[in-house]
Amino acid sequence: MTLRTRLTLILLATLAPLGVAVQIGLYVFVRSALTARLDDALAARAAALAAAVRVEPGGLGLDAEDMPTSDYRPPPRGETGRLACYEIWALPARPREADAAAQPRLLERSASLGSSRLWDPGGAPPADRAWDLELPGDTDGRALARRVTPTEHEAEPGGAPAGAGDGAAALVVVAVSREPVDGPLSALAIGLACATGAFVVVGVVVVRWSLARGLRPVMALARAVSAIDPSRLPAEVEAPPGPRELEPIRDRLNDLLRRVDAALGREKRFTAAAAHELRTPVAELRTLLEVAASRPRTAEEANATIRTATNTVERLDRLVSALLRLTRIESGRQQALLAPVALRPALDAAVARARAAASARGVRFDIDLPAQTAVLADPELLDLALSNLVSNAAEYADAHSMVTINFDRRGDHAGALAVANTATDLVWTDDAPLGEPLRRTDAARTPSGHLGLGIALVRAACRAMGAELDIRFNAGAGAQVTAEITFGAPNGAGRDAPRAG
Amino acid sequence: MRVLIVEDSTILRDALAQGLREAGYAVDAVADGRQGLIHAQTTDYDVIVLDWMLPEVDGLTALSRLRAKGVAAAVLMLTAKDTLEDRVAGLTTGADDYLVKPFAFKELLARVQALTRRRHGQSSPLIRVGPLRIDTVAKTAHVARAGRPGEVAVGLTPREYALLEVLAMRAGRPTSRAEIEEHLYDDRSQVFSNAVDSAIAAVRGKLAVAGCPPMIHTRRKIGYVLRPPDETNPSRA
Repeated sequence: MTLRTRLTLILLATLAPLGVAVQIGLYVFVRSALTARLDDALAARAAALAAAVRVEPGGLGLDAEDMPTSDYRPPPRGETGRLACYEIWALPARPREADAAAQPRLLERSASLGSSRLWDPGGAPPADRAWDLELPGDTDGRALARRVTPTEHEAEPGGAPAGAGDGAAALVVVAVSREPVDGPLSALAIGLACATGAFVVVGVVVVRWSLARGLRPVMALARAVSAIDPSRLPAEVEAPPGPRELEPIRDRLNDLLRRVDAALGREKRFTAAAAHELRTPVAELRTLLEVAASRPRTAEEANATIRTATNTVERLDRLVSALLRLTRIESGRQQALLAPVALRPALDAAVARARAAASARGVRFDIDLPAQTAVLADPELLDLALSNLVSNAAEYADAHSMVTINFDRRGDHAGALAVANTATDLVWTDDAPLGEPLRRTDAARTPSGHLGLGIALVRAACRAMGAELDIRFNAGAGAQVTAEITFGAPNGAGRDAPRAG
Repeated sequence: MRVLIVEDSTILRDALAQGLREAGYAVDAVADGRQGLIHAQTTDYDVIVLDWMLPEVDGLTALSRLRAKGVAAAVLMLTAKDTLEDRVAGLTTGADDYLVKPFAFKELLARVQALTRRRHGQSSPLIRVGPLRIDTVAKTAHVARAGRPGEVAVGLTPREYALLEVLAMRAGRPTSRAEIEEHLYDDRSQVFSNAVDSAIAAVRGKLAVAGCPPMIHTRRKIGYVLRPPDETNPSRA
């Protein structure tokens, strides 16, 4: 469902009940007003009929001259809307309990009433109230009853003596068709229904148009984002300036683009460097074997080729294994299992593995690390980190120099292990293979050439263990390189960029 | 023909040098860009095989400096960088060809041969000078004898062949002893003062045995020239 449709439905779902409530309120108000007006008209009719009630010697009677009989004739056929009728009852002066024979006596009823009744004399007489009822011809009507007590002065001169009608009362019941109320109400209901339909249609059109207009900057932004070529990420989203509300989204998108671009750049550099690391030994191996196979060789030549090829394959194997481990760590497939690990045995094992390479170059190790030192680390990742640090030092330290290794304890299972040596063959460079800033000045002097990969592996292992790797390079102090791993780092994350000293 | 290899990998450098030497090239091999620049500016190489990622001075920078100094040797870039941008960067900087590691040595050899031919204005791997036919791929020379069907192979040593190829590439134009020496012997060779003259004599002798009329002529105080036998020869043969 599109955003426009969703917002349209939400707006309609909110406005429709409101509109219906307003319409119902309007209908009820108009109905009440019209009914009150009809009741007033009924009251006026009742008053006019009551004026004809007279006190006569035999009781109450009607003055025929005062009767507005012309208003109560049966309406022509089909004009039930003008139907009006009445009944005038003489009520007994005393309560019925006291005089069982005393019954209401019908004084007069309109011809328009036909055989119907407005009031059943068997019940209690309604007192000054109005009600809805059905009139002859199945006409909906409204009736009003009014109790009238003719006073003495209303007696005819020379008529019944005063007191003849003591306590006598008349009940005037008048009814008319509800047409003056129901007609306008029906028209109003139809009008409101039509207005509702029109409101919905116009509302949908207006809401969708408004939303389309309002969402135009969002759609422009969406188009700009869709048009981005993943292979060539721009510095920022190229969309026309939009409203202020979209600025945070645009800023976040641009920020995301920058971060994705930086990540892709790192990935690209890593892939290129890793490819170079792998391609070089493969090229060596292939050329070596093809040249050797190009003509018959002596046994001595063949053996020399086999030895060189074997060394190259072993180096290739180490490279591939290291790259695979780095990939596993970076992708989170190799998780760190942190526990207190004795540092000295792990370091001694790493030094023992690098001893042959170090001895060949006259590089010695000076280790200052108490035997009982333990750090919070993953044994396997710790071994990976130490092996690469120590082998790098053995391989890149100046020939016949000393590699110093010491530990600065900073709490339980926490502290910094520093491996320091001089390496005049190294320079600090921005052209960083594998994202690491140290590079050899003369790659030909060392056989393996995977310094960047080694440091990248150490950094990845440290990051997985929540340790920090800090590499310092002081060109002014005999090209002093110090690689320091801080175990139990407070933020538990590796540094993103080493610094030059 | 003389080739300079600038490659920091010892194994690759040595293997390439051995393979090219065995193919008849005089080969110098150095490990970094700075040495490569020095060699390329002091010796007239036919082809320079140049690695991109080099210590001291990277291959692209070295190439740019060589071209700026007017070094005309054909350059074959050798690198692990394989993206389109890298290839374009290498070729626009002045490389004549580009080969991505790892590669087949035969392909490298073929490209070096093609670059050598192109350097000397030869489009075909076969060079014909009069009755002499030189196959620069097979590294062989044959002589077509007048009035007889077929050709006779000339039994040359690799160095004698190289000498004949140097002269054939410049057929009709005199080539100095120094030039011949520069293209025939690399830095490892011990070259005696009469080495070129001796080699010339040996080649002349073998051509004559194959029935080829005299085609290598001496230009006094200039050098030697290979020319078809029917052309006028102002100097002594």
